[in-house]
Amino acid sequence: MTQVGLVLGTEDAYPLEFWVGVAEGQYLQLDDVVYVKTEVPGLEKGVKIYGVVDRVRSRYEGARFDSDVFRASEGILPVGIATSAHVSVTRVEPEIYVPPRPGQVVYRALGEERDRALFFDTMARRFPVGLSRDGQPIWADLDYLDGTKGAHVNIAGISGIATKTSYAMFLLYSLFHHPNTAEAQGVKNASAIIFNVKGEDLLFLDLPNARLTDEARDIYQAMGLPVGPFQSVRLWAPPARSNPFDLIPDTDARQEGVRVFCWSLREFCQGRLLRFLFADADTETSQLDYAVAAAERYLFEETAGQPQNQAWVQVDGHRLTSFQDLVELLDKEEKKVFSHLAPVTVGAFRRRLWACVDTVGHLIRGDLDLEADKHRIDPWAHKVSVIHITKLHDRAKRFVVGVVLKQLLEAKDTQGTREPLLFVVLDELNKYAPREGRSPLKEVVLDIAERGRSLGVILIGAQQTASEVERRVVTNAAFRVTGRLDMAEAEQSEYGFLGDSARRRATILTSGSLFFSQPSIPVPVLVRFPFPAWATRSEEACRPDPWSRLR
Amino acid sequence: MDGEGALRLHPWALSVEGLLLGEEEVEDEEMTAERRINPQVEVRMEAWGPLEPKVESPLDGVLFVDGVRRVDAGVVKQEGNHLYWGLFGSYGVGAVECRHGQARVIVEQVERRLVLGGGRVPELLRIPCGSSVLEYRGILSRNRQQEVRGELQRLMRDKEGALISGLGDGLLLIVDGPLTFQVPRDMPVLGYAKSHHRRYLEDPKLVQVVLDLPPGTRTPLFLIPREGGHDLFSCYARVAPSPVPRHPLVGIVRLEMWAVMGLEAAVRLADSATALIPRFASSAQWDPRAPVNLHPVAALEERLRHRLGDHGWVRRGIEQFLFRGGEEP
Repeated sequence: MTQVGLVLGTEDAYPLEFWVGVAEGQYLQLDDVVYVKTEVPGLEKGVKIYGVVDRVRSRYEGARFDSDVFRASEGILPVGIATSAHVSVTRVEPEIYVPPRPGQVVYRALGEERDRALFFDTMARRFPVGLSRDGQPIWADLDYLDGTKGAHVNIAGISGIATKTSYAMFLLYSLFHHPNTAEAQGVKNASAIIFNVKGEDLLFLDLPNARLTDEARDIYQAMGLPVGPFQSVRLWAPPARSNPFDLIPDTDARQEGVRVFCWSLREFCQGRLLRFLFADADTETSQLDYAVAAAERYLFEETAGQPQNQAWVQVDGHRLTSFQDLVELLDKEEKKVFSHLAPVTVGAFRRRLWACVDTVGHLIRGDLDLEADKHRIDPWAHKVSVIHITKLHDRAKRFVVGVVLKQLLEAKDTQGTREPLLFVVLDELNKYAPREGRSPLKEVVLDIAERGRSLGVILIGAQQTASEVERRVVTNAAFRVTGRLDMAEAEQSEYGFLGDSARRRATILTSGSLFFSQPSIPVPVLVRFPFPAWATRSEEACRPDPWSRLR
Repeated sequence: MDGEGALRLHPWALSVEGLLLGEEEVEDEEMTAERRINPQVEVRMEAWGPLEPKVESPLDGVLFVDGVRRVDAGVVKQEGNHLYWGLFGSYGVGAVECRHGQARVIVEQVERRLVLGGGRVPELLRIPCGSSVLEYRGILSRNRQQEVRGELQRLMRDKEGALISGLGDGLLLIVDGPLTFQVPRDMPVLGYAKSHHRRYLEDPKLVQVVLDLPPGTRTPLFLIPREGGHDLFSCYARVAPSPVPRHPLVGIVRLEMWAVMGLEAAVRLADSATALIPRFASSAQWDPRAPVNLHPVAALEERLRHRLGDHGWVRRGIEQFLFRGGEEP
């Protein structure tokens, strides 16, 4: 038991917050965990009040004016220095909410006391989400992630300091590899779909990071995590447009082991996927919706009953083998398909559809009859599936995200069970589920946010600014994570859970540090997470030596 | 309670009736006519003028000693037909060491006394007051029965004297106020008088020298005779300039040294102090007695006053104590 100070009597102490006068020769820093025992009449063991330091201050006593600092430093004015720390209470044991009393001794919470202060003792199934600044693991309760009591993660933070995606990957890594959870019910057979929306960072998840420092290794070890790449990874990329005949993954840094995804025309028609070509949230699309619905219905009905192993479709006697064929057909059959719609609406529909030919057309194909299954993303086939959509046009990105999510929701609906769990990592939520407007894609994301918990689909969403994302998507997340925020963004009400102190600190967080908030702990906790143990660039990738087999 | 007769509160005795007399500052003692001031101990009358201090080696540091006192409550003790005035008083003394570019309070002591002008005095009263118990030791005032307040002042000055005796580590010791107590002769103790109620120098020429003192200089020493061989050397020094509209004595202090240390030592001491004190001069916003109430002293006083405890709270403790007839709960 280390005494660090006494409860101040010059500042009010409340059941949920109090100030500590820091004793000579001791210190308290932000995020330190402390506790104080207070007596309650009739309660023999008293009440233990646990908390986290969220403000520390130091000031002269005996000085009256700002300029007294100069007098003090010249040895003219005798002053004292008082250092105090503000504690936000996390836990009261037993739950009798009385304030600590001035003069009571405050201890640094270590070991079991620290676990109690941060509710780690109540987490039956826990996994590490980072280290606190004093090098101790911070745990999260799996019950709040896997849907038992809650689900979903939301990560906010400005881009450029590699926090959001890196942390989402770290969370998954920890969940899938920590001995506490790797074999746990629900996680053991769970898998993850990761949309790689920026760069090619996630194309090397399956390779060890050659540049991992010993320091980073120590951090993994401190959390009880193995050091290595993700296991069982499937990388998916769209076909390159440059080659219309062969399906070559459209990636720059890595081609080997990357599989091409696309959809057959038949799937497009039978799956009613057309709507996802119109997925940019637009408030003026209500008329357009009719056109989309009419076209979908037409294509669905015309292609019903066509052979499953056939990629192309036969519509009205026309054999369609490319997306352009399909668009041309809709043009030709305009009167038949959109008979009751205003020409202006139909015109708008056709303009947009034509715009898709170049940007999305290569993803919807009629030329892959025998291999169609090979190009269909199966999230359950591997532990981790990375869907690389960086290089796609925005419209195509939305289409892919929308279709993949829709299909997996349908699959889960059909399964009818929560397990196996499916984790979906999606950055740039502001693009896919923006606060304003409505779109079929937003509806799918919202569906996951609201029903995902019972369906077993867990969204690990990220965005720069939570204020621009549909509120229900953000508020449904049990774990809220915040990296560095822009000053104005930090003021938004979405970050109210941070409290004043953490809000201010969020504007100066450095790479690798963020605030983690979970339902079990009433205050956000600052966590550090290590440099990835898997490669994020080609230069970091520790590839097996291709010649080794020949020797 | 110890002794017969009851203590009763005299709530307004201090402010209204003037019943509890006693001088605020015993700075100016009566001098007998035959023992006059001698202004010619350092220089002859003709040579009187401002002296630049000659300091061969700068001081290692300086200690400021001061005390504060407060009447916590005025009381009256009734014994039969006799009424005795008295008071509950607290005083604190302390010292600030300014050395190596650091100023720090090195001693703080607080004592509490029940001073009575007569009758039977209880030895010790333990008065519960909030989280602590205040101990007031009973004292019979040495002076006239109404001068219990002066007695409190005397107690404080004696305590300062006792404090100084324990501080001898060769540093210059500046005691706030005139020297009213005796300390070992080898201690470099200097009294620091801020108010100038008594005219020590009669000659207008000498007075003019005092008024015209440039900052950082002093007058030549003069001898103040005292009874019982407690003669003092004294001089005036200017701590800070006194621009219009202040009167010319603002910024002037009078320094006192025991004559027993000898003229040579006294000159050295006066020079050291004159050279040193201007840098400790306080600013007007800090202290109404600026610039002569020096920063270390002003800060020490504030701190000691704080140590006496909240006046309202202490007073309430005493009132409750008297209400219960002086019984501890």
